[in-house]
Amino acid sequence: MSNWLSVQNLSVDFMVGGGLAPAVLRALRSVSIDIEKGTVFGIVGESGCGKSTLARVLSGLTAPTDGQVLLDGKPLGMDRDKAQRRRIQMVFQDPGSSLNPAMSVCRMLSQLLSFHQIVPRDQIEARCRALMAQVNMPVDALDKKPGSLSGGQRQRIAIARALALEPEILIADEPTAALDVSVQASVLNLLSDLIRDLGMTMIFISHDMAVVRRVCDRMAVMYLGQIVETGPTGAVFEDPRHPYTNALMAAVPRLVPRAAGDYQMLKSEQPSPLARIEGCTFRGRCPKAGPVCATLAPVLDGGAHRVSCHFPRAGTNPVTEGSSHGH
Amino acid sequence: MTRILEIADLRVDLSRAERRVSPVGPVDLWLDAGECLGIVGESGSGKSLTLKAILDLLPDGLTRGTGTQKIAQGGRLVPTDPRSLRGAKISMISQEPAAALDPLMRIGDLIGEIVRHHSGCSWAEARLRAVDLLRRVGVPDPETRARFWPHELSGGLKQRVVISMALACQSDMLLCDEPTTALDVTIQAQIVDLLRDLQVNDGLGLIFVTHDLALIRQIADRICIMYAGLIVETGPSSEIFSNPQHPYTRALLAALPDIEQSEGRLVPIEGTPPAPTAFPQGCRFGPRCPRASDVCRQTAPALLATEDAQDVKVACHHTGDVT
Repeated sequence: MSNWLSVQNLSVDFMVGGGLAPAVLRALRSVSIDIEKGTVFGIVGESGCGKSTLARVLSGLTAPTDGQVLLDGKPLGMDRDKAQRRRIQMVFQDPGSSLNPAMSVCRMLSQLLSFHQIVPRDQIEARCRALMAQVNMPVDALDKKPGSLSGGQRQRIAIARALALEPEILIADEPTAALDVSVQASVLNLLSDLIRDLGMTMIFISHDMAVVRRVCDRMAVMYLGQIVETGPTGAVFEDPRHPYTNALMAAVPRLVPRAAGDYQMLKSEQPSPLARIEGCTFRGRCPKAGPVCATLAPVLDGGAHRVSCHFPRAGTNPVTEGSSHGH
Repeated sequence: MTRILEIADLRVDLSRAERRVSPVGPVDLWLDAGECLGIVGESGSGKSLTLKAILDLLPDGLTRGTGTQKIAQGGRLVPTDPRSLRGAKISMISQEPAAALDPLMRIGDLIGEIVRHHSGCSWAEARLRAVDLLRRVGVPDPETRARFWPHELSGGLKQRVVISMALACQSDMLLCDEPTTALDVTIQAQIVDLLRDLQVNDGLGLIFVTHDLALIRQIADRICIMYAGLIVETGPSSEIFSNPQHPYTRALLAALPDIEQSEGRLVPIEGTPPAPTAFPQGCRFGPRCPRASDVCRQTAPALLATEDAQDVKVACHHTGDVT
């Protein structure tokens, strides 16, 4: 497996509370991911699992407490120069608040193009038009301000703004969560086309399993700051090994109601990320938890499809069979 | 089945418009005891306004227009003022449960106050009853939680508390306005399971509004699909999803990613829904509809029963045409 973009043992702690009783919020606990060039990597999990923190570290918005990010074998720290910043761009969830309401689309894009010297001054306007075409927007949208565009159109502009810098990696943090189904479809199609046509790498963060299944090649499931399962998207969906992944998939409402049987609803809720938990962080909600789970934290183990559990669901894929018990 | 709510010709009007502008309506709705009616639509379709109009809880600038609303009372349907139903016959839960919880009262007192209002019992008794209600809605360790403040609870627990307040009112009907949108999917499953349980075992009637088609498939017995303030298709949930008739319903389903599928391209709906001040003449979905013809541009289609299934109603001039 090529490790073009490699996240190694990344941890992020936030100090919260302050005063007499400061507490440590462990947003990421030793997360490692390898992403191949030109693929789409999905990150799913519930709120508070650390998926957005991971995105912020990758884009240099949050400093890691421990661990590092390597791009092409070179460390990518917090103090990135202009050229490094260009390589990773982000599309946020709410285009209403990530776009400057006082700037026309044209000014927004041309400012970026001239600051990063992407094209000579006299070609800026032509490039703006080309970007509009790339995100399927009419050219006259260039003169508009975000306020006069619809939600889907604004998200297209946010994508155009990221594309203007010709990034190698696009991080999309819940890019369609604020959009209606009919509009979401067009934004998802657009992102897929861009990845294919421009050979970009995308990190796609979402809580919507159905969307992740459509868009991503590989994926990771996060729970309380850790990756509990990772592998090719098809394998994770069809053969979820971790009890949390299994419960997460089962909880998603379906158009064709599934037969009862495998369905096991999770009791209680995700513990606070402030809690200090010995052993496996999922054991409090886990239907399979045994004595070993309380003392020993499982490690992410296996081949292409890895799972962090002492009692993973028996798989149908022989590659990782029996490999997740030892240390 | 006993009918507990019947609304005819419901409209929501802009209060200060020069001519009549109705973001919603006319809409006809009914609900039987122990039934779940789902109302689905995209943002701006009027699904939430419809729900709020039932209790006349409309935001400023909107008024409830014409229409009659009948409620079951002593075995008969009686015309009733919507405002008199609040906190009694009909309760409501919203997307943001925190908005319904006084931050300066403990959970047990919040529920106890409602119990006292309805039964006139003592505080001591009301608090005991509050603990019972918390247990009924699946709050773990209810004796301790009754002494918690609202901010000490997670979103899922807050929603359970609001549901228990509705039970304290002894309502027959619970209006649910996207109650799980702010919750994670595993917690959503728990809340939906609780609502189902109350519906089946306690005979609570539910009207469930959401934009999530898969969720409504799971919870509703009967659904209404809304577009631009009107119901475009209605019928039993299984029927609508297995055999959608209206072009808008079909388009919505084609645009929706399904967790069971990884292949195939999603089909977006071109264009945007019209604003209430600019509803087109004729069929409101006409300008975005692939099947629109001259008749669609001139006359609005009525919501009529289809030939094959009498309990399915569709508002389309081309119902039954081969596609």
